[in-house]
Amino acid sequence: MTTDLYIHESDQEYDAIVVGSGITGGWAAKEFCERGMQTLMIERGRVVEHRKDYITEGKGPWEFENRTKVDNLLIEEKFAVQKKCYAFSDTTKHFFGNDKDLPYSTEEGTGFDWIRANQLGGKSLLWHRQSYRLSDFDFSANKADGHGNDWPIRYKDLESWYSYVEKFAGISGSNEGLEQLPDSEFLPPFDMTAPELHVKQKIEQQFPGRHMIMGRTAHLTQPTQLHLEQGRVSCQARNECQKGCSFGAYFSTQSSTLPAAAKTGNLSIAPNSVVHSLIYDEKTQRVKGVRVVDNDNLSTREYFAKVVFLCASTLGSAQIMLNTKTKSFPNGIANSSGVLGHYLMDHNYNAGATGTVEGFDDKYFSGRRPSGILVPNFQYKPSLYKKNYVRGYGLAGGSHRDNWQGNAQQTGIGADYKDKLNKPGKWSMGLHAQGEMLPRFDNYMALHPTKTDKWGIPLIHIDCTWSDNEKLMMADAEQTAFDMLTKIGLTEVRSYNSIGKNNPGLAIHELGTARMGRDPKDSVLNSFNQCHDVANLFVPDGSSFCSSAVQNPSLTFMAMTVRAVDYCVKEMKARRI
Amino acid sequence: MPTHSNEIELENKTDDQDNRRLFMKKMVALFGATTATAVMSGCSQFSMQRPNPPKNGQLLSEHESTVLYSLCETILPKTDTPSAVEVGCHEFVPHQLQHCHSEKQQNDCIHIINTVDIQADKAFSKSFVLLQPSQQQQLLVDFESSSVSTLNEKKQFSFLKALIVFGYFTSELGATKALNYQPVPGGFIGSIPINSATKSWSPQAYY
Repeated sequence: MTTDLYIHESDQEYDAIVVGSGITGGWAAKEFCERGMQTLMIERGRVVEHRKDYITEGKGPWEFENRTKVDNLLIEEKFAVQKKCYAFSDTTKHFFGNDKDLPYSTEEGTGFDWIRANQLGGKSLLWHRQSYRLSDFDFSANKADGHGNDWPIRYKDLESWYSYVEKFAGISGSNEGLEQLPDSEFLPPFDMTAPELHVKQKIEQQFPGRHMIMGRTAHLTQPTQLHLEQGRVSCQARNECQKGCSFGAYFSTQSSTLPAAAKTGNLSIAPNSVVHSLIYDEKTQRVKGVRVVDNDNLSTREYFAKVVFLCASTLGSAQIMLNTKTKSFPNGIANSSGVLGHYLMDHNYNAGATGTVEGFDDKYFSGRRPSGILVPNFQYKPSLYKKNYVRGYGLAGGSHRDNWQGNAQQTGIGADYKDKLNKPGKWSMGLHAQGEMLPRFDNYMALHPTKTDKWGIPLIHIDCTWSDNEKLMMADAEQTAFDMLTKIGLTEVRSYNSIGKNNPGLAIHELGTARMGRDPKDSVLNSFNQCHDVANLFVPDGSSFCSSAVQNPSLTFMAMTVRAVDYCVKEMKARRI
Repeated sequence: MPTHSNEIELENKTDDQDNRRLFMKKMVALFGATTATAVMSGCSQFSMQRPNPPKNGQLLSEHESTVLYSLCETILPKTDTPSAVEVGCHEFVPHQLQHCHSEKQQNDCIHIINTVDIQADKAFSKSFVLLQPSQQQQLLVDFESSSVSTLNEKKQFSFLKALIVFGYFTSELGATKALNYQPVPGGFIGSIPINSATKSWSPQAYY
């Protein structure tokens, strides 16, 4: 039994080291612990305790000096990149990485917006919680049209693991029977508003093959016994999730996997431990542990284990691997293929349209729904592709009823104007593209040849750009969203395409730097997220993706992680690892 | 014997003195007696230049602060809910501009505050702060919609107005009394019936 959850120094050889504590790391730790394995979770940042450290939760806007906006000087000094995230505000800034301490570089003429959340729980505290399964069309897309390598897994390999994680995490949504977006194990879906139900009916009537469904999200709309046992209760529809949620109503490491892992008594956590590199034994051709630099005082220490799971994020995990240079791996551990760091992807959220929905003045909603609607990808196989580009996009969005924020822009002075501001205004509806980004060797991250961070680790250097395929897709998505809203009768329809303005990165779906594959010559990981070159090193996070698909990837991180742990523990017991 | 027109003039003068007295009271409450007197004496000799530039660290001069104060009261006056001044918008605006907005936006706001005052001077030969509430209202209505202002000035005014509105509805009274405050909704219901008196929900998930 572990007596103290948090450790500093340890000579112990753990069964498993899990680097990272976000969605992937939390699941890996829970699964190892529940299989009786002594597990050390390593987190580079500080401890964030569930409830206790949600310091801004429940506060009104007036309780912040700048009414939830962040001071210019502070942004300039510490958050020049993080400020671009939609969830960044004075109410959440303590959960975002500090850009001053966490520099990275990009190739001249390119840009990449890298959003960081370096604390216990990682981005599981900040995520958008949308949760979707990939389909077989996604797993076979690379093979079907020749972009990227073939995924070494198919839907059937993950299906039961999806079910397993969904039941535990709690995913709300509706059964739709769509072949491109398999149904999950659902809690009840959130409601649609009256204008959304209207728009859904019109879209499905006028655009055969296009559907509009309620967003699937990791919120407890109706908790089961499994959730109550985790100490979680129903979603209160505050939609202030990124401040932290003491109801535990959305899935995070803190609300869900961490308490489950800790309950086993097999979990230890080493916070403030920045992993520098892996310790590799040339003789056994195995990793033995990790080298760590203390986040605060920069002292160094080592931790040891029989297996290592890298769950440090797509860029973070690849950075650790690239920085582990050994005699047999001069270009980074498990990188005999030379593809480590390459095929970096994000999603492309850069086009869409909004319009006014006439009527429904006497209809309103109650509560702040922490989710939106989705038009699932309707170009999910080659026969449905557009002529001038490959792959497709989903359209996410929802209705909005104007309030003082929009009404403020209208003309008016005095009592009548003030009275109007208090009242709900017009209904509008938006559809925003979530496009697939192709895996390309040319989009990559590497270690900077000379610059290092304050922990002495080489900076990540990123060269990642939108290709013509992504640009053509957004141009089409803009037109399509505009046409859809116009054809179903919305007025004042306006569209946008921001691909020329936005760097990759802001969808916060970095994927693909240590891709899976059947062939060790062109991939880093096998079908169980195990390194081809190093049998006791696994990477189950977003690094492993062969294609981005269009779905929000976190649910797939969860399913792949539990599958990888299950496989790893069986291999350990069979003494093959 | 006073003529008819003189009577009107006299009436106006009395109103004006009342207005001046009322405003003086507010200014004393706001800035203290010395400053208020200085501001009032400066009001009559308004020039195109920025009068009495702000003291160190302040975004607005004392005179500009008084104009902003009057703008806040005119745009969102006291009704069955508090006025913008009662929730402190006249203090919020310069604070927010200094901390969260660009230099250009700061300058635009300073410019538009002075421009409104110049308009008042042109139309009524008085500072905006000394006009009757109905004159203040009419001046701003005209400023928003007629040719007395340029398109750019209209945009600048709209920005300042939106900032006052933001300050109002993110204040405690604005968020909890002027709107239907629902800090913990308890769940989401997609459709509920409402009537023309129903207020919008508050707070917002994102501001």
